[in-house]
Amino acid sequence: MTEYEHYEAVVVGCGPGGAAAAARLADHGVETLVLERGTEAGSKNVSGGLIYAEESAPYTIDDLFEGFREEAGERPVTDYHIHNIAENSVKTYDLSDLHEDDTDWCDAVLRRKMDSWLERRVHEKTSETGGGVLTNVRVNGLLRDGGEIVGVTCDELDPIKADLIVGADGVNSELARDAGLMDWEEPDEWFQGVKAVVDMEPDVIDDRFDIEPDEGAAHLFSGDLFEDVRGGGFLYTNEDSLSIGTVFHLDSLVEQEAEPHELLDALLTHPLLAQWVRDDYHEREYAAKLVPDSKKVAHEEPYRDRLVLVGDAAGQMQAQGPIIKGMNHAVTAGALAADAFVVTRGNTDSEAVGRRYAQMLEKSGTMDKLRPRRYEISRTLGERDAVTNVVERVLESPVGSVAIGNPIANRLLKRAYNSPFLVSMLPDTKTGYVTLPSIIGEEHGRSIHWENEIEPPTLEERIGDLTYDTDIGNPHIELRDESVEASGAAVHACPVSAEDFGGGCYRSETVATNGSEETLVSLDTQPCIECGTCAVVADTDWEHPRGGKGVEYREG
Amino acid sequence: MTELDPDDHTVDELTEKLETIDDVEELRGILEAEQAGRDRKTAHEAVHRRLEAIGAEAAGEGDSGGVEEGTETEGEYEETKEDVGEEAEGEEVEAATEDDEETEPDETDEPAEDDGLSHPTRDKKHVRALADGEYADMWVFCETQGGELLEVSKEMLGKARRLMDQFADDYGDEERVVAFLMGDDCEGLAEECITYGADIAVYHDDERLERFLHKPYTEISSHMARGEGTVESTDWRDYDKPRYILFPATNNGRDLSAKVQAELDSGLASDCSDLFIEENEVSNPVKTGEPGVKKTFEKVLHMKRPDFSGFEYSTILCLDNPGREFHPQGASIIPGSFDPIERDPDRDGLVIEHDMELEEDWFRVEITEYDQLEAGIDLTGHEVIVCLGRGIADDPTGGMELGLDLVDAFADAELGITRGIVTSSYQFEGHVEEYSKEERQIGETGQVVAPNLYVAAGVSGAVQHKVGMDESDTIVAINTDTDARIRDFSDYFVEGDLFAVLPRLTDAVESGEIELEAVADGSGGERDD
Ligand SMILES: Cc1cc2nc3c(=O)[nH]c(=O)nc-3n(C[C@H](O)[C@H](O)[C@H](O)COP(=O)(O)OP(=O)(O)OC[C@H]3O[C@@H](n4cnc5c(N)ncnc54)[C@H](O)[C@@H]3O)c2cc1C
Ligand SMILES: Cc1cc2nc3c(=O)[nH]c(=O)nc-3n(C[C@H](O)[C@H](O)[C@H](O)COP(=O)(O)OP(=O)(O)OC[C@H]3O[C@@H](n4cnc5c(N)ncnc54)[C@H](O)[C@@H]3O)c2cc1C
Ligand code: SF4
Repeated sequence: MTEYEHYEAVVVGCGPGGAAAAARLADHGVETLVLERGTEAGSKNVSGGLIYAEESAPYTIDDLFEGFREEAGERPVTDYHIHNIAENSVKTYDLSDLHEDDTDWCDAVLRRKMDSWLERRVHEKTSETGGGVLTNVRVNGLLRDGGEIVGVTCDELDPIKADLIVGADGVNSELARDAGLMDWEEPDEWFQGVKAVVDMEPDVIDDRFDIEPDEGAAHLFSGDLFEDVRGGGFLYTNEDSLSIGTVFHLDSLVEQEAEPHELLDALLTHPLLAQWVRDDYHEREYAAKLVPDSKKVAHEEPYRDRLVLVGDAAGQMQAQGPIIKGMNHAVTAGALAADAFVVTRGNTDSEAVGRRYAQMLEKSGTMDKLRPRRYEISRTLGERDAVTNVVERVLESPVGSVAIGNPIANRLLKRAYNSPFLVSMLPDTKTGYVTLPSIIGEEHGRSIHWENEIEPPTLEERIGDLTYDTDIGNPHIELRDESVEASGAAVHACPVSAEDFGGGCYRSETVATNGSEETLVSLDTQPCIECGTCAVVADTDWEHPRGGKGVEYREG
Repeated sequence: MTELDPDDHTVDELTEKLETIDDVEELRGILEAEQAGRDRKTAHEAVHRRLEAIGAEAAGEGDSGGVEEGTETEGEYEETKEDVGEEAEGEEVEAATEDDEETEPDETDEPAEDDGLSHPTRDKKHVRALADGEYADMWVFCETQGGELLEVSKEMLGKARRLMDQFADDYGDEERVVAFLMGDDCEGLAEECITYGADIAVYHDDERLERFLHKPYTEISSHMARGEGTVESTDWRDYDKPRYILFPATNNGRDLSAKVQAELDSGLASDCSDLFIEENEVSNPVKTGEPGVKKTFEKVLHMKRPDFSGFEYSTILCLDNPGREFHPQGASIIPGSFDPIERDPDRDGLVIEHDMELEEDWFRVEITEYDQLEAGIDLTGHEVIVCLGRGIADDPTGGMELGLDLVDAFADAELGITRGIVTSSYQFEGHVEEYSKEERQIGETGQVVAPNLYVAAGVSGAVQHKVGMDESDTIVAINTDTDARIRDFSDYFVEGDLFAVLPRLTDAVESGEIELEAVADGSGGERDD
């Protein structure tokens, strides 16, 4: 085999998972090269924005990066509520107990700021051990020697060999796919998150959320706000902006033919929001990304040969009820993978590191958070349609509503929402997301009549405000099948496309062919925000754009 | 799979048990179990010793795995490399810079004066005929591609033929049209040049010349033009340098023309669209040698080239100074400017193989890969652009035809489209399909145009489209939706169905009533300044 450049470790991706792995490797003295496709780490990344430091976790981000909270974070969450909505009727519960359970601290973050700060620290650390961070480099596959994974191949550089390859390339991991560890087939294994970052002066935030400058608020939303689409909304306060977004089960988005941007708008324009945002609504950025559902896809053995997967690439994104925890688990996993490498270094079996890493995930209790055993049980009961329907009918019947509507139930509900155990059992059905919250809203809620003055931008304006470095003539997604059956779902589910909108990625078009009319789907990748949705819901050849190309998030 | 769980044993016990195991896999399994479990350094060593004993590991190889989780190992490594940022960027490509011959000759009305400083001839080994030289013939560089003459090569031969026939009439001297070309196996093409009007065709064959290469092409062209080489290959001529020389204004032709003309110590009029030969009277003392004296230059090639605006022309002459002559008078010719003559396979002419040694060094630049790009359409520089958007969805072919009708109604117009059309799945019929391609896209990721009149039919006016056209003088939008964004930056907004409005607009233009207001009012729309 040709002599390629060799590093002890190559880390693909400089999100929290890759940054943690690289920092820990460098701390161990391992020569580590980090490859990141964005022009700067964070320019491709989106999250809602709460990073948790769990008391029970073996590593937290501030263990690895001193000064993280001061330098990379926004506001700590000191105020936590969930709102159950039934039209104008809203029942709010204080979720502080749930929030504080096992939480050392929890800060809101914006990913461009956070990840670029991490990148600089990682570069400092890794260059001390003979490596560093290279941005604008997209890894496009695994380098194999006699069938065994020995390195990575890139669009921009010659192949690179390494003793350890850390796939920290996030959701839609091309490395995981290449290794055969993940596929992008089933919509029910994913959530789609959509978010808007909204301008707001720090003192206005303090005032409207009734907090001090060093405090922050988190609000979650569920109920019939989103009609029958399973999911919820969030609002977090940053230093001088708000992060407002929605997270939905992808299968539900597809089934309901919902438009993600309209769901976000439904939240934005709900009267409840009027208490925080007035007519001064100015959206800085519209963003979206898929997140894996760890309950279903967190990989029990996230390794192959010298490749280990961490974070979203390994499906380690925990969304249970209102909790969204991905970044913290990515950090834990990255650091554990680094330790596993150091411990098994010199072992001639290339999979030793992977096996060790999997054991560490298990022993540290991380795996049980990601794939709770009790969920496996409740899922088989609760998620099956028949059962769901029965429960639905009971809840919707007068008796059911009364049962939930009495004062004792109210206390119980508050307890239930604050019980990590119960919350993790809420199966991902309409009952948990829509029916129950809206009945709660209806029965216990108070009516809200505030006038909402928010005028969300149109999709066209949202796309127009984004920054793109278009790779002209080199589309990164190709539509394999342009029939509506195969790819029509993307017209709705793509967060920058919509039925009857010509400026999006996916458009359905009625075309006349030899006398007969046919509806086809067409694709333009220029407005693409690389969320990954159409990799799952449409028939495509899906890759990320070359290094530095495509959308560039400023907030994230 | 491992029978032995090291966790259950002390290291001494383990060492003893290991003695009985000589299966490498099993030993490795135990090692891993130990690492995953109690992870004792002494236990690791025991396993490694056993592995060595059975010959599966060389002494000293193996475990560095004594590092405990969380143990800092700083100081154990050596600094191996400098900052990878630079290293990984790859080797610097050796730039194929030439000496100082790069300077392009001046393109002013008069050839540049030789100030002795900036002139690129200083290092020339071979400068001939500075004064009283002999010049004759019109030379034409015939560019080839894929084993065929480019169309522009035939066009230039046709023009040269007509010019030199006229020359013979005017001056009584029969000077010739000389085609020169090079490539891998191009004798046949040289013959082809004769059929298109050349009297002489000089060619140089070498397999390394298959594709255009700056250095050898320049060297060979200059060598040919100066009449160097063996007697057999040059005895057809008896002059120092060509009188005139033409190159195609293609990418390669532009490149070659500048270098060859510098090498031959003359000037160049680039991107010309017309040529004629006439005398010229000048009084400029630089040219006449004496103030107040007029001098008539004979047989001057007048080279017309469009200005940047495209509406005016300059005529460029290449005239000798006293004691210093500028020949060949050279131009590069915009493709499509002239018509070829009809191919005549019976034309007589002389085909000559040129002979010279090609230096290895000229081939330092190697073409390892190439790709043919689609021809591309230039939408800039037209008076009118008619742009179609997804408003044609109901009948894409019909809409395209209506757009093209309007284009045809103007003297100098082109058809543009939005990206919305480029990326659509519309099924265009064959005759209009070519208009639906990316090469006609206007906007941020397409072309930027600024015509006098921009007609946007069924275009919503997305910001990425706007940046490609909002410098246009007059913008007319036709749209069914009065809220369409394009209304904000159009001078005239016609509310209406483009399928109805476009034909009326075409009629109005054809009948000479290009009263936009009338059109706007007539269709019940509104004017929106
Ligand atoms: C709307 C939304 C809300 C969320 N809310 C929260 C929340 O509140 N709290 C929370 O903890 N988590 C949240 N998450 C999830 C969280 O963002 C992810 O779990 C987390 O980012 C995973 O980290 P990671 O390091 O695995 O991957 P990422 O952060 O995605 O990083 C992957 C990196 O790899 C790079 N990369 C990808 N492919 C390549 C390639 N081929 N070559 C080179 N580089 C590559 C990317 O550019 C990126 O920098 C949310 C997600 C979304 C979408
Ligand atoms: C990074 C990036 C780069 C881009 N670059 C470019 C670019 O270079 N060039 C470009 O053009 N676009 C570009 N786009 C796409 C751009 O955003 C728009 O999507 C596109 O310009 C829309 O094309 P359209 O106006 O034809 O279609 P639409 O937006 O669908 O508009 C169609 C219009 O036709 C009208 N209409 C419908 N029927 C009729 C009728 N019968 N008669 C009259 N009017 C009718 C409608 O009211 C509508 O206004 C880019 C996008 C991105 C994200
Ligand atoms: S085209 Fe696909 S990846 Fe891009 S934004 Fe739309 S759904 Fe997401």
